[in-house]
This record gives sequence, C-alpha cells and structure tokens, in this order.
Amino acid sequence: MNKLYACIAAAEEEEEEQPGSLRSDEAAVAGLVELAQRFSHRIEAIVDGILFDVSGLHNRIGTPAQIAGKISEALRAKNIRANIAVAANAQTAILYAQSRSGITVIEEGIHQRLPLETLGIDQDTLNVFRTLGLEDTVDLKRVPERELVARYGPEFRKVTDLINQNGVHVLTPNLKENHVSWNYDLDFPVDDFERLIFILGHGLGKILEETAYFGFSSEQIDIALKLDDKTTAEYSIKLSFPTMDKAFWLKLINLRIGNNPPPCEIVSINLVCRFARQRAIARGLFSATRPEPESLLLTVDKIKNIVGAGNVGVPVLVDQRLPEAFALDSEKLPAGREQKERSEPRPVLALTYFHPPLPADVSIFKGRLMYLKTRHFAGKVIEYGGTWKESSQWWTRRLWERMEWDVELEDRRLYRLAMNKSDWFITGVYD
Amino acid sequence: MAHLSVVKKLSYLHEEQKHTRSYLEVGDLTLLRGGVTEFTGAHSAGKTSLTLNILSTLTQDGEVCAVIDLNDGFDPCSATANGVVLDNLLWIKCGGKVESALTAADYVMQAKGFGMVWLNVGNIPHKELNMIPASYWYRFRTKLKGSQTLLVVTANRSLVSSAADQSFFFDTYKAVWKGTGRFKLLDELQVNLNTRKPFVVKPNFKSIGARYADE
Repeated sequence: MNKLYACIAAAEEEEEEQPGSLRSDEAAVAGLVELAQRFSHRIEAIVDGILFDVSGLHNRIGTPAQIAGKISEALRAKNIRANIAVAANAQTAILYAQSRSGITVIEEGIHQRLPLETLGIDQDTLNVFRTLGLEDTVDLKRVPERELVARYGPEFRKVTDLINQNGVHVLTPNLKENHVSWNYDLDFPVDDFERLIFILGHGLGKILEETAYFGFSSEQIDIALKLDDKTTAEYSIKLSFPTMDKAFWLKLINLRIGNNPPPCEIVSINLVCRFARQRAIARGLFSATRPEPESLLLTVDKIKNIVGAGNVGVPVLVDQRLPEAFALDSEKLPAGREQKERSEPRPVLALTYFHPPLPADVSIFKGRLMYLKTRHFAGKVIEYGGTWKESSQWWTRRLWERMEWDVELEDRRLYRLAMNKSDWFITGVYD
Repeated sequence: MAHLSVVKKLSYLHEEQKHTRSYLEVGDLTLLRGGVTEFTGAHSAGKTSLTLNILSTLTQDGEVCAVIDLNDGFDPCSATANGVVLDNLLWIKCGGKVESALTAADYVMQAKGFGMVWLNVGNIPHKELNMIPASYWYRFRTKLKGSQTLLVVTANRSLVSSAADQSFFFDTYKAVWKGTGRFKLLDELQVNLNTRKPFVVKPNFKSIGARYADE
C-alpha cells in the first residue's frame, strides 16, 4: 500500500455536551493534535477533526485495521470521543470519519455503504434520487457514471469520484507549529562537549530542515544536555536576526557551550528550534556596507572568549553625574542604523581615561594649583579650570566627594585632575 | 618599444592607485579605505578627537565601526560630543593586553564589512609596544587590501612604520582658555597636523573646540 490517511472527526452531537467532545472541549482538540503527532508529522486540521498521513506505518504497526485500532486506543487513553476512518484516499478518510460513527477502515477497491446526504448533493437532486429509489452510495454506484455526468453536468463527477475513492483532497499541513525538536541518547556518557559536535551537527541539520519545511527560519535554539548526575544543563541561544545557516549555528553553539561547559558527563542531547519569520533583506543600492549579522555575532563571541564576555559590546551613556557616566552593554550588537539628523563635523576635544588613575602629588600655593607630579610626567601648572563636583548618587555615602579640574602643564599637555577625599589622581588626558 | 617596459614608473603606479582605491573625506582630510592609517603624537596632540570625528562621519552614515581599546581609556561621552552614533559602535576593552588587542583586531578585520577599525594603543609602555612584531601590521594591511575598512592606529609614537598607507603626526600648538581669574574654562586646543606619508612639508593647522557636558 502506497498511501494511507487517517481521519479523526467529531462524534455525533449529543443533547448534552460532555467532556472529551471535539466540538466543545478545547483540551480535547489540543490533545488530538498531540495524538496525531505520535503517528505522523504531516497533519492537517479540518473542521471538527484532524487528517494525518499514516503511510508507512504498516511496517511498525501492521494492517490499516491495526493502525485504526492503535489510534482508537490512544483516543480512549486521552478520553476523547471521536470517529476514526483510515483510507488510501484523503477525501475518502474525511468522508467516512465525518459520516460514520466508530472505526471505519476502507480497503482499496471495497466500497462501504453511505447515505447520499453525506456526499454534498443538492436537495433537488437528492429528491429525484429518492423518487428513483436510490437511497445510498451502493445504489448510486450501480448507475453508469457516464449517464449521471451527462444528466447532472461535469460537476457531478466530483460526487462519483468521491464514491469511487478518487477524491482530490490533498493533505496540506496547516498546524501552527512554533518549534521542532530533536533528541539523541548517547550510548555512553561523554565528558568533552566538542566530541559531540558531529552528532550535534547532524541533529541541527535535521531540525533546520524541518523548520524550512514549515516555511520558517529560526532565531532561537534551545539546547538541553542531560548529565550523568541526573541534572540538565540548559542553554538558550537567541539571536537578533533569523538564520538557517547550519555552520553558523554550530559554531555559535560550540562557542557558547565552550564558554560555559556542563559540569559533568553528557548522556543525552535535546535540541529545540523555535520558529521565526524568515529574514527579509531589503538594502538600498547606496546603503553603507556593514558586517553580515552572522559574521558579526561570531566575531563578537570569539573576541569575548579572549577578553571576557563583559568587555565587548556597545557603549551606552548613563544619565547620571558620575565620573564615568557610561557603561558597556555586552548583550547588544551594533545596529548599523543610518542617522537622519547629522551633527556638525567640527572635532570636539576628547578625553582618554587612565585605567587605573595615576596617583599624583600636587603642590598648592595660596589656594592655587602650582605643580603636579606623577610617576610618568611632572610639570608646572600654567592654567586650570574647575572645580567640578562629581558623584551625585544620594543613595550612597559618597555624595559629591570627588572634585575635578582641567589642568594645563607647562609642556602644553591637558589633563583631568581629580581629588577624592585627600588623594590626588590624574584620571585622564585631553587628546 | 620603450613604452613596453615591464617595470612601471612610480608616477604611473601612484596615478593607478588613486583611481582604483576608494577614499573617505572628513573635513580637509582624505583617508584611504582598505588601508592602514597611523595617527601619532604625544598627549594632548588631538589624535583622539580627530579619530572620533572620523568615526562620527562613518557611524552617522550607518556604517558599523569598532574601537579596540587597549588601555580601556575610551570615553563614550567624548564620542557622543563628537557626534559618534554609539549604537553603531563595537567597543572592545582589552585590559592592557597587547596580544588580546591584536587578536581582536585580526578577528574584526576577518569579519569584513566594518567601516572603520580604531586600534588605540596609546598610554601603553614603550617596552610592551616594542614587542609587537612588524609583520602584524603587514598582515593587517594585506587583510584590508581591497576592502572598504579603514584601520586607524593611534599611538604616542610611530609603530606601523612602512606598513602604513598613510601616516600623520600630531603636534600641540596651544590650548586656549576662556574666562578670567579663577573662573576659567578650556575653550579649544590648537594642533598642527603633519602628514608624514605621503610627505607634505606644510603642516595642517587644526582647531579642536572644547565642550562641557552642561553646555
């Protein structure tokens, strides 16, 4: 048997709605999808039911009747009341599941009786058939198809096709999946994650392939590594852009897990690929060049490995009166956004900090700064501006305790001098 | 048959390079893209201010630039004052480790697509800088060739030497203060920009204005 479809449809309506009814119980509908996923990955949600492809299950379960039996068992276990039909034609499976209660297994070429009302024939034609003594599909099948088509038009061929199990419905997966997963249990525990890269690459290829099959891309992959001590090491890799580049994902996973390896031996790998809409690239012909997002992210991760995770990122200003009112956002990547309002191109005097600040000896005469000496340079102060008070954090005890001056030494060098309590420092140089 | 000489004339090569390579114009400065540019000068010579000015031009155009900050001395407030779009800037703090800074620069250039890479090696003892092999700079130059990335190296003294496509030396002329008595503010810094490579005799005078946060 080449193709085999199973359809689960809502059972006949009862006077009182009961739990487990596909028409009233949302949990039952969700359970139905979960159940279908155990048998197939090609699933189509139809009105009051579900259609799925069970081709190939004869190797694992057996005959179509046995497959229908398994589905019925699973339905009972979930306490869902529904009709089941298994047929070689998708439309036939839908027709019988919607028209017959219980389990119906349609063997190829063997016709089973159905009332004519289920075929979607208009009422006038049905009345004519009744007058002629045609009550069900078996009666209608006895009438030559050519004559029926000649009398009721080519549209009637759809009805005859339905009776002859030649329906044209094509199973179209339409479930809104939001992730695909892949699991692999290792034969023996592995302590070095790098040894699993080939296995991981294989799994990654599979889930990305499945994601592409659903027409999506991905910007998040979750990795759960079950460990030998019964714990799980979980990693979630989120990007700011969707990508399906397997080599890129693999490198990134390797870098991230390499940064924070699991504490003990790995026994199982689980990968979950979350769906995201595909990236739309619409760059202008004259837009500025910028690194590819994948390349930028990998580069940043490589550099983080060298200089530390907190030392690479985008600078951000802090809206406080602090000596160094800025921070580094290591979670952020440069956006490459064009500025609409452009500022003046004239250079402004910039400061470069000394880390750590240089301790200084300062000579003061009659309240004026006279001479400055550090380990690296010394000189007479010829001009200075200040005092600027810093540190406005009222919630700490260090309130306005730092004072700063801009000083010019005799060799025309400009420095920022700071006094904290009674200690003097050169915090930076104007350059 | 004289015109069929295998060896091209230097003037011909210069002319050829002028038309095949792209340049970035910032004010009256023309910088070569896909090459190494070196800014040298002592403290308060204005090299950081001018570099930030170049960065502002590029980041405002939407180009992604990188600052490889060897001594963690980069001041984002000064960058903002110069008009740098911080969102387009990748800041790499190297904690004074020369090797980390050079490796990071290597990775950034490998990534391709950066508008400018600023390698700031100022305020580092000469002894450590002397340990950088000259081959590194040639390696960078080869990597950048044909790309749109501009590598700017700022240092207190010349490091890149002959590997630099352009080399500028900054020299402080004077600092101008405004105000009287004890109430003085730094107004501007006047510097001379000497072009060493290609050699230009007359220095370029530049004035760098000071701006305070509350202004």
